[in-house]
Amino acid sequence: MKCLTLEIESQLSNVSLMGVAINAASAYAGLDKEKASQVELSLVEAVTNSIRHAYHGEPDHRVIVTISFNKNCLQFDVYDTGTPMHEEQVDLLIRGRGCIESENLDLTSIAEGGRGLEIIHKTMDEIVYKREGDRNHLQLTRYLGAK
Amino acid sequence: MQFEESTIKNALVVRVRESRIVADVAPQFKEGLIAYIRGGNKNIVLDLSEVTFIDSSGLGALIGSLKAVGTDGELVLCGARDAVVSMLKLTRMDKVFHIFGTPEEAASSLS
Repeated sequence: MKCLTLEIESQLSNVSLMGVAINAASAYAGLDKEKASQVELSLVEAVTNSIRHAYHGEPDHRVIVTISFNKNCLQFDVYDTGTPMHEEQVDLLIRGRGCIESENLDLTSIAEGGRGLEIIHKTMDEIVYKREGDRNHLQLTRYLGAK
Repeated sequence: MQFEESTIKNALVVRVRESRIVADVAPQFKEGLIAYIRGGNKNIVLDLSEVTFIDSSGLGALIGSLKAVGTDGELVLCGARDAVVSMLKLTRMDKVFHIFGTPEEAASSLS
């Protein structure tokens, strides 16, 4: 299994650099352009969540993403040492709630936010969240050749 | 956040001069669009041809701007690249926003 580790300080201005690197690594692993963009989107949402919600927007913390892949799948391990995810957020992330599918598309009803976790749920094939000691570990897997 | 403005027919065409609309720039992006709306522009074409990536924060800013236009005017999109169209489809926002190929096509739809 090939492996690469990326690390940024917890500032939103660093997320794009992480996203671009993830897109390139995903293409190298074999995903086509559209799927690589979806994976990039999913990881940008995950890392942004770490900064906004786990670290509450505080700088000077670390977000680490390890990328590994073999011929069957591409795996991302996202680590931060911030606040644990709430149970209902974990449930939304892992099970999904079909919020996007059931959303009323009338302009007055559409929400401006709250789609990040659902996007991750829709674009990744396997999702595991674990609290390991004082750190959050989110493992996102995309099958190569699927979805 | 940089924008470039032009006029086609009676529409204001706003070209976004950023490649990524993500969490760190989404507030300025929305602020800029709201300023155009509050400035009395009712027909706005948002040219996304330079935008290669948008996340949920950027999408939220787009939705907020569309809501700000309300029923008094229109905000339509043009030039959206594959990754942006893919994001709009993934979130079903392709059914909410009117998306055109070129600024001219978009402006014609508003006249």
